[in-house]
Amino acid sequence: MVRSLSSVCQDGEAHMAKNELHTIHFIDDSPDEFLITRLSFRRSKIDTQIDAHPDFESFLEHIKDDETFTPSTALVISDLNLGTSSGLDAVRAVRSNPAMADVMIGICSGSDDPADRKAAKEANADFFVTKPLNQQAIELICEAIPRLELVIAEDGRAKLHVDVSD
Amino acid sequence: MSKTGKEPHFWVGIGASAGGLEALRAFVRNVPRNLNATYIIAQHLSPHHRSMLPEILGRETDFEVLSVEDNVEPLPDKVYITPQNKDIQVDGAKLRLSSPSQVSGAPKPSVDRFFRSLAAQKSKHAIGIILSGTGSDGAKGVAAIKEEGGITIAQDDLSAKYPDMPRAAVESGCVDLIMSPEEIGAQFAVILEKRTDLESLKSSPVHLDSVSELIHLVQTQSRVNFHHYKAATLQRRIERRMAAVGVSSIEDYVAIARTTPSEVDELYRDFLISVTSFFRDPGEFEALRQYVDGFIESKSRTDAIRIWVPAVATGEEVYSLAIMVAESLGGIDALAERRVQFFASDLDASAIEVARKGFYPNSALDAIPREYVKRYMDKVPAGYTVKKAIRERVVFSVHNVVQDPPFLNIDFISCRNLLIYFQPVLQAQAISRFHYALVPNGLLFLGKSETTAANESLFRPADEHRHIFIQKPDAENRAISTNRSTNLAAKRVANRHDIVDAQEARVNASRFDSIVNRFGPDGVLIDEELKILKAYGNINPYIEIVSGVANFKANSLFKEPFGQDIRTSVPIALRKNETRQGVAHVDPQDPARRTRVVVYPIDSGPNEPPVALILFSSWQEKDVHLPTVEITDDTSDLIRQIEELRNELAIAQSNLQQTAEELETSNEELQALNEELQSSNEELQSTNEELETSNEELQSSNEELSTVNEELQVNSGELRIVNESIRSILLNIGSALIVVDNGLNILYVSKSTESLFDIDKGLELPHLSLLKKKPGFPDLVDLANNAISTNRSSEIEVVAGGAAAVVSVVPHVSENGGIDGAILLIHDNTNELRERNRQLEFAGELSGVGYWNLDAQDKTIFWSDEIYRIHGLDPEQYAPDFDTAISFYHAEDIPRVQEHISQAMEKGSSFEFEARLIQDGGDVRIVRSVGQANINTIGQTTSVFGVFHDVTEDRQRELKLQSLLADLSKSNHELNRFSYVCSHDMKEPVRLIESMCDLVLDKKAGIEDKEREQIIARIGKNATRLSEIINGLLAYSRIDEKVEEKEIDLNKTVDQIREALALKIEESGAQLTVGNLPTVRGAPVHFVQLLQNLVSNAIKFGTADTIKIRVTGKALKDEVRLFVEDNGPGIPPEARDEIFTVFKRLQRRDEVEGTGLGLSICQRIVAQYNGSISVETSSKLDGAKFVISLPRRRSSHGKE
Repeated sequence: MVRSLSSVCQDGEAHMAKNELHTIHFIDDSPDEFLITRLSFRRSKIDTQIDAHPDFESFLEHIKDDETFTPSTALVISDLNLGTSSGLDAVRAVRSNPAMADVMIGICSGSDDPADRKAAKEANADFFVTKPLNQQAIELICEAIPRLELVIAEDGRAKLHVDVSD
Repeated sequence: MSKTGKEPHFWVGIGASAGGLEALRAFVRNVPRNLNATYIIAQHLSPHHRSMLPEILGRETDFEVLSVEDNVEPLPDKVYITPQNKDIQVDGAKLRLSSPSQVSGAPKPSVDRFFRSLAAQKSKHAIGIILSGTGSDGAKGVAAIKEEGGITIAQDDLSAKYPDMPRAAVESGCVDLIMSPEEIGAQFAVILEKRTDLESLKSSPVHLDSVSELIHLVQTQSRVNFHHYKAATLQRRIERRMAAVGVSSIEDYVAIARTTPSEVDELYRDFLISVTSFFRDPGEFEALRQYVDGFIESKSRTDAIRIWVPAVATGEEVYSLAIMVAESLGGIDALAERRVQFFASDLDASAIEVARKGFYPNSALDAIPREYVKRYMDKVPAGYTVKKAIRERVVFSVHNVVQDPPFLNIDFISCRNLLIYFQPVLQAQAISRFHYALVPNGLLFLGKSETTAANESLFRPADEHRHIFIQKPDAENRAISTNRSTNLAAKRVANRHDIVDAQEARVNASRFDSIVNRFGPDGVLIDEELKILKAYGNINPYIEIVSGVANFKANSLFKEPFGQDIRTSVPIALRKNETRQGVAHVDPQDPARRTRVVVYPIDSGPNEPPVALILFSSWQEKDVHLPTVEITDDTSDLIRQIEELRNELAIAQSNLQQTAEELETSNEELQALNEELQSSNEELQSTNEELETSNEELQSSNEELSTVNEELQVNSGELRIVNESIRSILLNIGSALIVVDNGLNILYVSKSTESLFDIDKGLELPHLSLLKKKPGFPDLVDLANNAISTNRSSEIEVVAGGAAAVVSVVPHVSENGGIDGAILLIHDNTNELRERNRQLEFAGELSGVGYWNLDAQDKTIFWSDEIYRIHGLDPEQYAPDFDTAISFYHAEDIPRVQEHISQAMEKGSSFEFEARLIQDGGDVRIVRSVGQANINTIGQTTSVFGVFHDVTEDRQRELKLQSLLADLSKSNHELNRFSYVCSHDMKEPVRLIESMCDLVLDKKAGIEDKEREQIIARIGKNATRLSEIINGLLAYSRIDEKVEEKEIDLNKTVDQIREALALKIEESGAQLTVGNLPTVRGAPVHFVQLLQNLVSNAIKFGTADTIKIRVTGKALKDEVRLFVEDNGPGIPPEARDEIFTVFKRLQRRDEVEGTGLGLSICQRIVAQYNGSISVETSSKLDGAKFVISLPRRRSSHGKE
């Protein structure tokens, strides 16, 4: 869901329960992909930070040391074809871990293969978007996850908000 | 129900003459009872012949048939017949008989007289019917009846044997209906009912019979009268037309003809159909030749020769005669010089047209000698035309022989097969015309069945055996009548009888009496039987009544010699109609007195018998002086002599009297005899007429029989051919053929049958049951009986004692669908069976399929050669039996096999199974057996037959195929995976380049210069990667390409690699050690790529400070092994299979660059040589060790 900041402000109770989502965890073994995503966010004035992880293990390693990591506000986007493993494995690993039950995790892929989309759904991924990971992809993710919202301020800057009221 | 009392009483008068008996019988047979009608028949009869008519008619009908008695009151539903020599008249309610007219030739009884009285007495309740007869009696009678309002009917021409009488009645214009006697009888009730409206009856089919009406229609339209054509001929022609227009009843056809003039035309043409051909009846023509030569010789060169051919039809006859005449004259040129003229006539104009053209197809000329054809005909397409010189001598015209005037001064008439279609009356007319047309002694040439009998006085036969006649010049026939009605009118005038008034008759009688009294004092009036009718004056002196005599006839009542004069003179006077005088008799009492008897014939009138007036004329002779004679002795002697003379005279007179009486008696006897002869003559005449009719019918039948005979001859010829064919078939047919009748008596057998059943051909063919029984053959008697009784064919195969045959039995069905017997065919196919067996064995050998047969009764088994081979057995050493044969199966399979066989034996089921078979040598084979039970007619299994096939190789092939299928499936899966990965991995650098370009080009993206450089560098890198992927995929795909193979020294290959990777080796400081590598056969490029990829990978993924790489190999017996080891991190065991997958990488891209294709390419190359590649841990260098195993390949010239 995408809306302007003013409309968010008018929605009092909802506003009270929502936190800004500061970081997107992007698992991809391609440095190029990360660069493109970062530059695309900047072009779209999305202020959400992107943490790049070459593989799922690196991501796990990273969050183990990150005290601010909160599963309920964590958005993880994994490449489908990681050179040595599959993004689906990452989804399954998150879903099978009760501690990370609230993590928002989905798949991004270079091609929109229906078989891949189906496999992602079966692995209980929250979304399946195609690369590059730009504002359009973020908006699609927001549509797939109702509690996630891209809020655009009057100056054009955008931030991701997540509903944590539950 | 009788209508007496309610309906008027009709008096039906029937007049008939010659041929009347037949018509009367037909009438009384058909007329119904209870019409309140009395039938009175006036049939002309001989006055002296006792008629049997009442008895004859009595047999034909239920009516009571009576001979009329005078003054009888006739009753309804009775038939009254006028007796012979009587006229009949109606007087009130009674019938009166009277003496008939004595006029010579007057009919007795007179139908006219009868009908006139009937008309006068019964007026509108009088009905007059005139049936067959000659003359015209009755014509006036019907006019009288018609005048009084009665009904008049005449018999039709066609049915009347002698139609003159009914025709005269019709021509009087006073006849209401013209019908056949049958129709008159059958329709009599209708006629009486519709008597006031006979017009409607006239137009109904009742009026005319159908054939007569058709003839009438044809006559009206064509002006040709076919009335005297033979009924049977016309009937046949009408039936032809009925068939042509598709109607089955003649009444329907008449209805069509009434409204369709074209159909009448068709019928007319059909009536005219005649059969003709060149020189028809060659024997007749041959006989004719001499007569033609004769009359031509009698002619001078300038004389005209005139020949008439009536009924020429399509001209064959006239041209035949023209050829004959030309031949007689000396050829066609001689014909041209003479005045020869042929007149060819026919009724049928279309036939004349054909004749005039003179064209005939080849088939029509068969009967003409070939030299005639050459001389007198011109060849044209499809046939011949008669030469013009002949044709121009023939004048064709449409002409009716019996209606149109004949040609005259004819020398020769040829009229063949025309008269046979005519009734005698018409025949006579035609012959009469021919006589008239011919010159004296002219020739008449008739058909084979024709004669001049109908008018035989006009011609004499020229040749007893042929039908050539010569005209009699002296015969009376010059009065050709062409107008019948004129003739009849004249006849009627001649026969006119005036009615005599009774009053006038009385006056006449009185006048007659006074004349007699005046001129002849004494006399009597007597009739022709000498009965005294009236006496005049005193006749007593002349009469003498003798004691004991009660005869008052003049001849005995009058004294002699007057009686004698009367007896002799009266008949002569009456016969000659002249006055006769007797001699003057001397009165014994008065010698001077003389008395003479004079007889005057008196005409009593037309219908009265003549009478004679006898006058006794007496006078005194004045000069008679008898001398007075003295009686002397001499005188007394004289007196005595006179007395003696007188006595002698008396005796002589007495003798004369006696002689006269005897003569009279003889005369009477002769008269009686004459009457009998007359009667016989009439009967003979009648018989003759019948014979003539029969003869004509026979002639007609003869013509038809000739046609039938010709057809039979053709059939006979065909039959002979068929018989010859059957004989030839029976002689030459290789199989035994037996034809039997319904009693199974053998009718025909073929030659083969005689030898098969040892039939003695000299003897009569035996009964089927007596044929020698052949072993193994079914009962032929049963088979034949079955075929005859069920009308079904059967076929039985017989195999016995090495011989085989097929016995076929079919019912012998006749043309009409009935069964005449049966036909048995025994086809010996022993040789065929042997040949088929040989072929079967051969087929088994070629296909590897054997067959076996298990006899259900004795459990004996037959194996074909192929089965022995499959079992690995020698037929000479093993004879199969049920128990041992089944023991060849694998112990585990035996129960299953036994179950199948048992089921087949018990239930007649078929089976199919596969089982393992242990060969004699111990090898296990898989066999497939398919079998079926043979069931006999009562449902029992007689044997089980099966085929047997070694399917071991098939099963092995199937397994291999299944494996290949699995491989293919896997390969397919891999291909899918490959294409997916290709697509994904190739798209990635493209997409990245695209995205980066987008960012660089987007000014709003805020890309800084440094970033831009970084992006551009990354774009270049991705482009390089894309290129590498493409190259890798190209390399991967080209592995399958056909490349020239040769012997490769792998040591040299490694040297090439070392050179190619020199830079990398130098940069990485790797140590490449190479052992003594073997030589392999293959494409050098493959082995360069294989080893370079492995060495390159070792360098790329090497982690040790000093990368060590070792390439070794060894040649084994069947394979060459190559080893590439390194001291790198090695491949984890779980990844050792998947590392060969396309694009599979074990390091992240950010760690090690690469396409993930290298090892995939290696595996594909090795697979190309049917080898394998695997990875393990190197024992020497502790890194990865790739082991490549390649089977040894031989070059085409035998080198490794």
